[in-house]
Amino acid sequence: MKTSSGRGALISTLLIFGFVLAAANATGLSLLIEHLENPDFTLVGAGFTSKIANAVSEISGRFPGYFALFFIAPIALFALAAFFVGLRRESTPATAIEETAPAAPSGDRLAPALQLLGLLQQEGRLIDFVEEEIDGYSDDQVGAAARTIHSGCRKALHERMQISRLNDAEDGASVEIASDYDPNLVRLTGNVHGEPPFRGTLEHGGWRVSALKLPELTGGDPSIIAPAEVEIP
Amino acid sequence: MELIVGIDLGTTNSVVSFTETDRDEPEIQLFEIPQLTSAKSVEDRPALPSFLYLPPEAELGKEGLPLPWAKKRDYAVGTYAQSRGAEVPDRVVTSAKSWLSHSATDRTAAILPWGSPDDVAKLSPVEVTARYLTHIREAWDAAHPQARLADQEVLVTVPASFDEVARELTLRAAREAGLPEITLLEEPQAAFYAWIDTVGEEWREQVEVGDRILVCDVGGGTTDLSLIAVGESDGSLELERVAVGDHILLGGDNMDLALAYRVSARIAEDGTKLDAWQFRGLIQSCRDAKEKLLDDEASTDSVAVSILGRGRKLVGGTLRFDITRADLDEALLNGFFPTVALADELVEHQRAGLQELGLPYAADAAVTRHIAHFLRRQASDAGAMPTAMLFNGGVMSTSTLRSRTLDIVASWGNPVRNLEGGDPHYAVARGAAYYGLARRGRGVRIRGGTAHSFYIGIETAMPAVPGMRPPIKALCVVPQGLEEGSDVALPAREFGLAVGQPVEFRFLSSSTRRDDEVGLVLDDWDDDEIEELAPMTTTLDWKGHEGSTVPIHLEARVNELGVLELWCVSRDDDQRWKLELNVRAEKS
Repeated sequence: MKTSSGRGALISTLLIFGFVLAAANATGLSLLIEHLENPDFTLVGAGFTSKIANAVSEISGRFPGYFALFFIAPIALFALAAFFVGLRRESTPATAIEETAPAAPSGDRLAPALQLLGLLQQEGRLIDFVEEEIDGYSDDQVGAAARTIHSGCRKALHERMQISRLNDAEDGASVEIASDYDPNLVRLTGNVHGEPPFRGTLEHGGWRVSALKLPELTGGDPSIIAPAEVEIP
Repeated sequence: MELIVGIDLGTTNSVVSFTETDRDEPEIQLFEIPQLTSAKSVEDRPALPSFLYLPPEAELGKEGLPLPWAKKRDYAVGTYAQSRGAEVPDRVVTSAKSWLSHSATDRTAAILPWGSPDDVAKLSPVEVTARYLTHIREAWDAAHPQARLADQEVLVTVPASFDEVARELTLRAAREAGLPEITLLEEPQAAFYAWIDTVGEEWREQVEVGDRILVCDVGGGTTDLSLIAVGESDGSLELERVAVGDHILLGGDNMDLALAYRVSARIAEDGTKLDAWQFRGLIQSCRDAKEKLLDDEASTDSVAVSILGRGRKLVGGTLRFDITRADLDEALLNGFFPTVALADELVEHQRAGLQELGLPYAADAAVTRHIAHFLRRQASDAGAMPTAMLFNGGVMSTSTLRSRTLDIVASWGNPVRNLEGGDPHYAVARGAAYYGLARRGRGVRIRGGTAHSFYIGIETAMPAVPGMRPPIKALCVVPQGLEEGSDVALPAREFGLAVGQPVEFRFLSSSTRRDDEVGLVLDDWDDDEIEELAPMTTTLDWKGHEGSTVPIHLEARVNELGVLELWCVSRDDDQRWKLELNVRAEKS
């Protein structure tokens, strides 16, 4: 993750460098022309910027193609360099994945999701449970396992986040939906006609996660949600 | 901003609390300690499990076990170390604190993890303790860069039963951890301070003059008892710690184990033998089941428990069974809290639960019999029996066990009431911070002073008998209850000491002989009354006087931090030499 952000910085630097060089070329060119036309011109004074602007428009009017070349060439050059750097960034992990197939989801964006799966596996054995074929087992057997998985997963979640109901009323209670209700918080089902307010029966209180705090990662690959366990006799 | 920081350096868990001193009504808060919860992740937890994991070189790799404030570490303490302890027991140090107070071993020698093979680099109990304190200091400094821990007033709790050597070693560990100035405080006292802090000014309504409060602290691995008397001075209530118990290696962990053994024996009868991995799962299940069954509102008589199969046959390998109230009654109530009489002697050689070799675990698992033993020695007449109890420690958070213990103690004499309102998990750390405030005059202080009386052994003049050490007389140099910041001198008794030569005094202590005064010489005593500690040694360096003999007398001092110091003071001038506990020496 460190390397990809480092590459991003390199690309930005290359592009900025191209623009700066292009601007420097343009300024230098305009000053040269100004100097040729007016030898008393100095680089001091408030009129400096406006003079450049005037000169640039004048020159570009006189030799449009020639001027543009000076301006565009550095941008194009460095953009090309940036493109190749970007290309390398795309290609490196791709080959790595091929080498270590099956593919591992990676990147900063997915790390918290993988971390959460890791916690549910480590403390609640959730992945082991989901990945096991349970058709052949009796309900008693599945139920016995589920009890332990339930308490492990619950502990894993409750230790790191607060989960609260959006609507505290009992399931089955009659609730009022205000005219300015937020459809993100309430999903209406059944005979939804006319304009709110509505009155209906609460079928599900909804859930909200507040105060989520995941462990701080100090290294390792978050896609390894459980290492293989080997007991040395 | 100056802070007071209280550290409960527990046998199984350490907790840190703090409070600001410049507030009108200082509030005591917990410091959530960042720690490794897996090899590669750090989380804040209210307690730091007192476990140290020493991984093999290959497992460390290039990255080691990094913390946010330390790039590379070759060890881990806390939650991750505890979980690895179940998987790689040879490489995890547990109960370092019990080793620190284990007088039959050399406590500065590299002996831990106890009994592990030679390829594990071992550490001394002092070094392990220093690592826990180092972790706490570094975690604190990372969270409070403007208020580093070494610059704050730090109070560390120790069991009341810790002898002078164990206290001295705790101070040494703190110095090694970069905390040169800490104050020690006894755990049951800290629990009582926390109770005062929790109930507030109302505490004066809940106790009265003449009350004797038995503080019963049952931690994960140790049980610690203290008796606090409520007196009066100038019309206001005064508290005095009048007695402390012995170090009892018996706690909540033993109870979980005992229950697990009982259940596994029953499973074995049905033909299923648990492997080590499944047994660890069973211990955890038993702990949960115990809490469910002991819950006041619990109406069930059995709790369904399952141990998941290992690996990919999770459902297929799951074992299912019930833990019943009968199991609990038999293993826990009858095993650890039996109904006993005050006169019942401790049972020797009856062992319950898993015994880790090396540590002197309590032979008698009955907490109630230990309480009886303590009271019999410390409160011989009925008027001295407790009138109230304060419970502390995770096990005692269930009211079933509290009321059972209360009933048993009450059956020995006085009615005994329960002081409610304690916080059994974090009270000791909170109480330590409260004590820091009390030391500044912002709270009630428990008078107590030294928990023990101390004696110097004087060898009696008698003809040498081969193979027999000459018997010693015990000269009392420190009476019980000598308070912080006070001195006692013994000018009447002179010793002649040779300059330039190491001098050794045999050193003894007693937790029961409350009335011995300074200067008293004992010829004879019972073995369970007075215990010999490590000897006190010094070398009299005095330039220009080599070879001469200097007349000295002894002077004792308990400094402001509660640490006992003994000095040899020259009779004729101002020369003084400090006696140091020789902690390396093995007890004979």
